[in-house]
Amino acid sequence: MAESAEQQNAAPGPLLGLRVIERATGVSVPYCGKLLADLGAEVIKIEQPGTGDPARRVGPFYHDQPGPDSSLLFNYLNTNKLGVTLDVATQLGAELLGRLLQDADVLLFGGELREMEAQGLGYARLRERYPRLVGVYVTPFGLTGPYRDRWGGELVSAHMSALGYLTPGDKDLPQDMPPLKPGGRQALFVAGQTAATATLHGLFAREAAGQGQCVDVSELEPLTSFQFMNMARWVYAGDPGARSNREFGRMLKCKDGAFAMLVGQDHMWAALVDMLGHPDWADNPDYQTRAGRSLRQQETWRHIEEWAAGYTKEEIYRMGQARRIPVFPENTIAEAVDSAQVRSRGFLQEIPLACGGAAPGPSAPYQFAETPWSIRRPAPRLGQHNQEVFCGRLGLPQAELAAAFEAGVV
Amino acid sequence: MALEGMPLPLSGVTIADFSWVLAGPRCTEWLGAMGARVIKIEGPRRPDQYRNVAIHEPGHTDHESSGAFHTLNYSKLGCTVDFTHPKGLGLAKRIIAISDVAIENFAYGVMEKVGLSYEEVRAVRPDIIMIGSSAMGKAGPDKAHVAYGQLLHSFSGLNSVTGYPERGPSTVGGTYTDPLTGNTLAFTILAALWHRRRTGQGQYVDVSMVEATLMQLPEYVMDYTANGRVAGPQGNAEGVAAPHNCYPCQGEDKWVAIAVYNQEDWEAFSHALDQPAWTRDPRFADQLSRFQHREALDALVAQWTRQRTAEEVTVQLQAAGVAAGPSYNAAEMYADPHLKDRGFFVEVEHPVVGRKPIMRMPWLLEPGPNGQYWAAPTLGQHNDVVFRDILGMDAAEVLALRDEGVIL
Repeated sequence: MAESAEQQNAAPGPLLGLRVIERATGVSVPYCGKLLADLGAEVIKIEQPGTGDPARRVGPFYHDQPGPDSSLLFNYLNTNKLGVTLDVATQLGAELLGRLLQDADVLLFGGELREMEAQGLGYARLRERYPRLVGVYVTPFGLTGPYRDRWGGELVSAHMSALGYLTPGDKDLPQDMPPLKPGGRQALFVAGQTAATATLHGLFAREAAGQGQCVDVSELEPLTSFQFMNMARWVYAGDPGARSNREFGRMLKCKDGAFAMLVGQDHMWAALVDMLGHPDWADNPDYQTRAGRSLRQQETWRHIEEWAAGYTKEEIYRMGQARRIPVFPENTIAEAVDSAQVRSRGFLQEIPLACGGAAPGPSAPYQFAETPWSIRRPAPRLGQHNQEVFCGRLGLPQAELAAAFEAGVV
Repeated sequence: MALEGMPLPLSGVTIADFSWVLAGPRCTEWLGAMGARVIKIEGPRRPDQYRNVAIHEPGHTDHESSGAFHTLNYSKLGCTVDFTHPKGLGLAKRIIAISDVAIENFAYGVMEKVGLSYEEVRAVRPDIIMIGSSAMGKAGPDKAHVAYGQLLHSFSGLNSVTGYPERGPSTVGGTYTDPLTGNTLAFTILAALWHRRRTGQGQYVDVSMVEATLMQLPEYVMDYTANGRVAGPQGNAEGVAAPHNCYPCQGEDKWVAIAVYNQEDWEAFSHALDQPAWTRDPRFADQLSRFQHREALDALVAQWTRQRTAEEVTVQLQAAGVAAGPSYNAAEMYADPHLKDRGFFVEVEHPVVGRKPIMRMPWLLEPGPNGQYWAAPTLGQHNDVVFRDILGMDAAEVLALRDEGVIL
């Protein structure tokens, strides 16, 4: 630990000193644990002996070589964590977990309610023994309410949140096409990100109230909470929403792809007309007001696409931004991370991998001037830190660790 | 929900809130709910643009009636300061002097132009935490680019992995990068406050919306950097799960999401449907084969769902242990009994529009105290509270500023 302590001193994150136990698999809670760990918290991740976190088996893999330590998603989600294996359903496993919780500020639990009860990790039980513990429970639908025992996950959350119903936001799609979730695992990532905020809220609440807290995060609520304006449109104006994009984010075609722009204010419209070379159609009085333009939206888009056929999305982006028009290219992920702006900020950093090697990946969207984000160690191999944590920290004799290994407890 | 007499988690923390539109206000309303004293500062002649977003009850179109503003600005004190006026700048600095955090999300260069750069703010309050939130980040060759959050769905590549695979990329509906950045800002500020409580040290934090979005696309970013692969639109798919899609139900434009992740789920799913012959089709015998034949499978599942409401499908599949749920529109989401039971919608009394719901923070503390919620301020509603009670100015001083147009 000497080296890592030194590294930590070299780059103290704002959460240095926080001790977190992570009993979770998949995406949402591991992402929460990663956000805390990357800002300096010590996070010990507990995995099931033998099988480990199923995210280890989720592709894509480093150099397309599947293996328990080469999942790129798993590696990203578990940076900076110490990894131990423990079957907490056994007596010894429960005892070792108990000793880890003794020193912990936070327990992150992720999974179904029934697993939480089976593992004896319900907060009502823990609060007796660990009165200052902040227990963060991230479950598909939360600890209370009529759906608390239901099965959920990315797809169900994305659609029950009401985001799916609005996606894709393209006006000219046939209505018999199904609503879509946004790309990737946005519901789960948002749940994990929110759980990290909720964890800190729980810690501040502990300081204020002088007692530990149970933090109840439903994986459904965080993405649903993105739909506040959607809700307001219904409550105030009786509009339940639809898969149409109103005036926002319309994809317009150009020479080599597409771009998006929003010309809301009059000065932006004037700048756009200038960029288009003052075409005759734009002289029409209808185009001189925002209300008039929105009535002629389809026509406007057609005119702009006729012009745009002669330019690349990068050219249109540069010409538009030079005139202070909010316009952006429709980027692939590759074009986004290779863009001059993202590159110049050093946003992609080498993420060291549990299987050895490294791959550039996202670092952090916040640049703390005094307490920077840092990667101090790669995601753990399965049980990589058993010796260090159980023997080194908890003082378990070597022979007992060996016996626990034989018994399948670690 | 709150414990009687217990201080709220952020009581004693003051936020000088220069932010407007979406991401910043979304963050600071949560901090207000956690007990921070959030002083929202608006220009008397240039108020928050979201007061003008056209989400209104019929017959109410004034700048105090927008549902967009109300849902983004609960639990704050609202005051007006024209900080482009020299006396307004002085007033803004008096607010900063009593603040722990200052936050802004103006276009690049605005704070510097008016004399509220980090250096100038820190000169007033050396241990302040200052957050600058922007589309592209505060440094870099394109830092000054003008943006709306929705356009960053395009720039970040989020749209490129969204859409029907056969039709190419599509836009994510509604707002996404904005509230995501709001959440990120709340985490950022709490982490910075945690550090400051231990060390007394404030700092500047630069937050980028594009980067907040890319954070949540790591599997695609690293598949590109490690394997050279560039992903396209993913539809409703996740890995090789099948059936895993949104299926049509009884009623107009009604849909249900069904997610069968593994063999155990598939067995449960087949049982829930009473094992029609097609569930024993060898093409659907294992996960990979189901995924390869997902179009045929989806068509058969849709035949079954079409005879039922989304609610019936959900209840029937959930009882068998299969993940399912309706694709809600806003009205259905707002009526959901589970969200209601968990108190997700909180009604607050607004002086102009009356009782209206806001969404609470999406988690619950037990024993708490949980959040405090009150309605978004009208323009300058708390001028007296801020200038007289908090800053201790006398009536004549406030009146003079009003006469000069520095405050409303």
